[in-house]
Amino acid sequence: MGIALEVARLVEEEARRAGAVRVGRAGLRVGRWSGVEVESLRFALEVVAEGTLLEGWTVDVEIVEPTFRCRECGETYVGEGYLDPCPRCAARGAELVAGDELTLARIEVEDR
Amino acid sequence: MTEIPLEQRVLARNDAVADANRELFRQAGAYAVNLISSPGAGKTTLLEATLGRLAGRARVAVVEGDVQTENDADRVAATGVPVEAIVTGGACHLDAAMVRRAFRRLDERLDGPLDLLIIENVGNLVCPSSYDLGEDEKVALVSVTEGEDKPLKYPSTFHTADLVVISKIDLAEAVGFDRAAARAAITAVAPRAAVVEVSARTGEGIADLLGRLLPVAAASGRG
Repeated sequence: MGIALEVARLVEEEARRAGAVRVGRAGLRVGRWSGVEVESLRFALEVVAEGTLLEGWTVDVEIVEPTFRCRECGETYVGEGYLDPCPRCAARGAELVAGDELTLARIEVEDR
Repeated sequence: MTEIPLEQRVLARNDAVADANRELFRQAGAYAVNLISSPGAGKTTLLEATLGRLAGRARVAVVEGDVQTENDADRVAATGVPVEAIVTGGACHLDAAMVRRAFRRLDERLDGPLDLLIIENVGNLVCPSSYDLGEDEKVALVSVTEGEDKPLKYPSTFHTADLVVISKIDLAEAVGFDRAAARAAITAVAPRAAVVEVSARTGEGIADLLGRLLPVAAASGRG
């Protein structure tokens, strides 16, 4: 709920700054390793929108899988953990490059 | 409809307060630790077992988070360490603003600089990991009774942990704890985390825990 409230606050702030009267859509990117439970968030986002510029909005949630970059050869790949061998060179030594984010990517608004 | 690209980190506002907290803690000389675990893993019991040993070695204070009651804060207070309670009333995690307010209240009562600030988070392995509190390190606590694959189920907490503490190690045999499986699970999501096994009841591993925590605090220029 706290995250939904913050998303709504950010969206409303940006929408008002753009002179919008309604927000139709928002896009979120949520990493699988972000600690955010997407279904609960979706429900909470409907609730927090009621009575605001956001009411009735659609939220597109793109789930980002944990993505690793091999320290040996630079290959990036989706995996389950740091122990997964690199699909290109089979080395086991990677850094996480995506999958823990929580980002408000974009909104779609009506200005009239 | 007009599309407006934003690419805004949702928790940027929390993180800005967290960075301000970092400065507050730095000014107090404190090395700050964010202690996270599921409810019942043994955070408060570990503090009760550990804080007494720090008397004379390090100046410690605790910020204690719970949804309801100040029971844990009372237990910590009984060790003689200054403690400030945060009762969230509903939030399942601490955030930087709550910790800032609590630390300011605590700071008024402190009569000198601190070496170590321990923030005991609300018992929860999901939400707390998202909220930077301004800590220097995150410590994830997991007990032998929770299953060896806990880190794989809750990667958001473990992959951000600098130190993983396995608690209730005195029960390992009774529950058939598979140490190798537990270590493998931790390595899969937190390959760079240090790991210490402890028993608050028997005292096993506590010296190792302090041996890991205090030098790191000292090396940071604080503590």
